[in-house]
Amino acid sequence: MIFGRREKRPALLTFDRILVPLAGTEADDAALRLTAVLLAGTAGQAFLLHVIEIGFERQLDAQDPTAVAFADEALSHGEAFLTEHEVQVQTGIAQARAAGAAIVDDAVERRADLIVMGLRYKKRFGGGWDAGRTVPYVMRNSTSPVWCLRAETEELAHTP
Amino acid sequence: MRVIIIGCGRVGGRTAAELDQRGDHVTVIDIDQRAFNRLPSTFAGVTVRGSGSDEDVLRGAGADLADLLMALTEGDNRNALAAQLGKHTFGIPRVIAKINDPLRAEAYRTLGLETICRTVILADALVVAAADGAEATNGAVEPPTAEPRQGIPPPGSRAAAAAAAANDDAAGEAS
Amino acid sequence: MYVVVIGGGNVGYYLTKELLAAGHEVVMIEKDPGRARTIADELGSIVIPNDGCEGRYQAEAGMARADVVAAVTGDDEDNLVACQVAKMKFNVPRAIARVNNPGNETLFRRLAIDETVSPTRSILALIEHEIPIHDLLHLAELEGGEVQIVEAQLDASSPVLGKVLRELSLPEGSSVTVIVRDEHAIAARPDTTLRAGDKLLAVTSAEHEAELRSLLIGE
Repeated sequence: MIFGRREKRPALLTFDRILVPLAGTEADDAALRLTAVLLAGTAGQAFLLHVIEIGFERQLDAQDPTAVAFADEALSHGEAFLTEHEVQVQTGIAQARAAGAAIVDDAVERRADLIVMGLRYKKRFGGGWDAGRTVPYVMRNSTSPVWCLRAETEELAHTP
Repeated sequence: MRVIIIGCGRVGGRTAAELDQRGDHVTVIDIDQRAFNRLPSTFAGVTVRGSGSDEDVLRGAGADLADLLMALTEGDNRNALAAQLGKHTFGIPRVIAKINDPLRAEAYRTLGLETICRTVILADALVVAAADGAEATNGAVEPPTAEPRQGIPPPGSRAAAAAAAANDDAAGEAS
Repeated sequence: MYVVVIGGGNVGYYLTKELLAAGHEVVMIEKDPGRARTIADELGSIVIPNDGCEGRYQAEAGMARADVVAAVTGDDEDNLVACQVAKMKFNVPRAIARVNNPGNETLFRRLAIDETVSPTRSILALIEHEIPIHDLLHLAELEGGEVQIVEAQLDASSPVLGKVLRELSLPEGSSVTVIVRDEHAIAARPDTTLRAGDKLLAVTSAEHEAELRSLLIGE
């Protein structure tokens, strides 16, 4: 070994801009950890986004302090975690009718080369896996690649 | 009383037959000829094939002279339209619409319609039956009139235990 | 404006597109999930895949703050109920209903539907304008064609202008029942004076129709 230089293994995966939508639930943790693995010590950037969904009964630009506070909390938590792992991070909040559409639009705007989302394991009444609305929408409509991290579960969908 | 019934399904057919029996002048309208097969051969009223939401059909069925109109098709909205047609265009004094959506039924009561809502009637009766027994439901839920012969219940089941206990009682009485 | 469109068929779809292009805020309620998804894919997250006649889904669509509700499904009864629920529960200022059966228009207006649009009537009106005025317009026939109900429009060249109805020697089996003047229907009385622009609704027997025509309209 000469001059104590650490040999760097060539990375198999490199990303410059990863968009990480945060739901504000425990599903976010896996997404944050994966993002840290991918970006730690690199020049790549993470963008944390929380989308506040506004129902049609309100104007799209309606003020919702509770929702904003919730968003701030989720984003601070994510930002702190990533910073701790030496990842460059920016955060943002958006208001939209549907989170999926906002995420897809944001990814395009930022030219994200990857979207990483966490998904809790949920069941419908009567069994059946409930993937929600947002993840399937982003999967179908995003031009960037999408990695969805499904959380572990104690009980599968087909068990009543 | 002159009654027009729109929809000769199970409910419409039976209602028509009973009112006819009681001596009322009944006219039944249905878009499907075969629906009239539900009526008993003794039915003395009038049957009209056509749409009860159509002003001309209603006029032809005597809506101008009717005392009561009952809209009993399977379509809540069709019933709401027909009942209002009867009320506003023909001035029929009483109109009853079958509207199975409780919220919509409530809304139409504010527009002068009498409404019958299967959902609420049945659900309420079932709750009473569950809590207080069939007898408490005023005939909505009917208790069984007889018990069938029992087959041999699976071992370990509640029915088997009950059967065994019944046998013991019988044996005890005999001795 | 905030517009709620009920029904995602052709009319609803194109209406929504036009409204969006004009800069209005629009939500569509369409019952069929596949159709709803297809439209949402193109126009954005503005489609609620449910029954627009139900108060619950109208609430979800923000009907409480809507300026206009347009019920444009293919079924008159659904359009009627959707508008009535919107007005009753949400006090929407304007309710517009598509009416396929022109016979329903009068009733809908009476039931406080603000505006009705009957494509049938619109097209019929267009067709009628194509028919030369110098003719009797056939409205209906009874008794297998034996009796005709017709409309005669009196223009400036009509031979009966200025005459009272009593004066006309109407052919056998004919009578004038109603006169439409300035969009109002008035009863045809013996002393009613006929004016240019009047539309006479008459009943006549088939064999005397030609005679009636030449009497009212001329050769």
